[in-house]
Amino acid sequence: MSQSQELNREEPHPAEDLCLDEELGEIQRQLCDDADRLHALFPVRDAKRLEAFVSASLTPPVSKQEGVDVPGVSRSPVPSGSRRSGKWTRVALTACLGAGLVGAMMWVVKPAGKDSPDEPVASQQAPEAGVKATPVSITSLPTEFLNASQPELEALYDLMPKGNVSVEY
Amino acid sequence: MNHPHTDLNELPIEQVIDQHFDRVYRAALILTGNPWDADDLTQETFMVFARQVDRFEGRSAVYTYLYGILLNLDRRERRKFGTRNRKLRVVWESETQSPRSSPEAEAPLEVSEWKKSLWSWVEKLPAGQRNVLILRFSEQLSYEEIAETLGIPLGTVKSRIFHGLSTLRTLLDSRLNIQEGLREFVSRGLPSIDCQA
Repeated sequence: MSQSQELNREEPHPAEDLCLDEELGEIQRQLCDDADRLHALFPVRDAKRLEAFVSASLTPPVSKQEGVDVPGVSRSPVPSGSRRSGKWTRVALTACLGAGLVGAMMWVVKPAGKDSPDEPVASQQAPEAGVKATPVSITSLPTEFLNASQPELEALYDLMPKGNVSVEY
Repeated sequence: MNHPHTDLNELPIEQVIDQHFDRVYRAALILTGNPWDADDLTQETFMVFARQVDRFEGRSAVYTYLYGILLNLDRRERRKFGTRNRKLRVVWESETQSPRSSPEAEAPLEVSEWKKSLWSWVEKLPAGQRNVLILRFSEQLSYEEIAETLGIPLGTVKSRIFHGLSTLRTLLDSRLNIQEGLREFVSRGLPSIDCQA
């Protein structure tokens, strides 16, 4: 019979099993003795503290569990199963707001870029080949405008054609 | 084999802790050699058990399942931080480095006793051998229970016990050889050095 079959036959005390040789037998006896000695020495801990700790860790807080309001914390009731949908609602809302903001900026910026009054006239109309555009300046205005009094200017304004004005250089 | 609680879902966690705390804590102390690490390890073992209670199918005893968690956590901890970071090492080194500090004040009795015992040598063994030796000679589990706890065949349990004991013997022999060598060196005295040459 092999050694392992012999071991399977019966389960001896740990200190007595696997006695392959004297030294190993001595070591395992020593291990058992040391373990017994240490077990007797080791302090006995109170399991109650751990029980309380594990229970507290596993139990969700009462305020969340039963919907009790915590003083000082305003809390709207969340319907069951809405946790995931609430998240997606926030995402969709943010996306909509973002898209709206971008659209509004494009709407504001683009027309302004097209007909910006601050832009020089030369940049508004691309100069064609061979035509040199001169920007309008105060010095190029006729002298009657410069020397005109307020009533005269008003009268001139009344004479100006209303509606689309095409400027020719 | 005795399976007292096959349906664990009906068993409150407080009851599991109450019934198995002592043996898990004892095993953790033998494994780590100090009460601080043993406390942490025991607490974490029961926390993991409580979280994974659904996975327990009741095919093994609760305590073998708990031992399995304990040994896995210990292995993970050793892999993560190494044995150098163990609090025990701090105590150990503070004892040897500062002679003014009282060892009793820093290291409890069980730590110094553990260091004197063979279990401090078991810590130096590979994880597989160390675990079977602890389960067999400290916790006195049967071969079948050890196989169940570690999820290994029965033959592997026996061979690991044999190899564990053999490695332990080699370690002890080497220690004895070093001690004898030192003794011999001291008894012979320092060799005289001829400075004039």
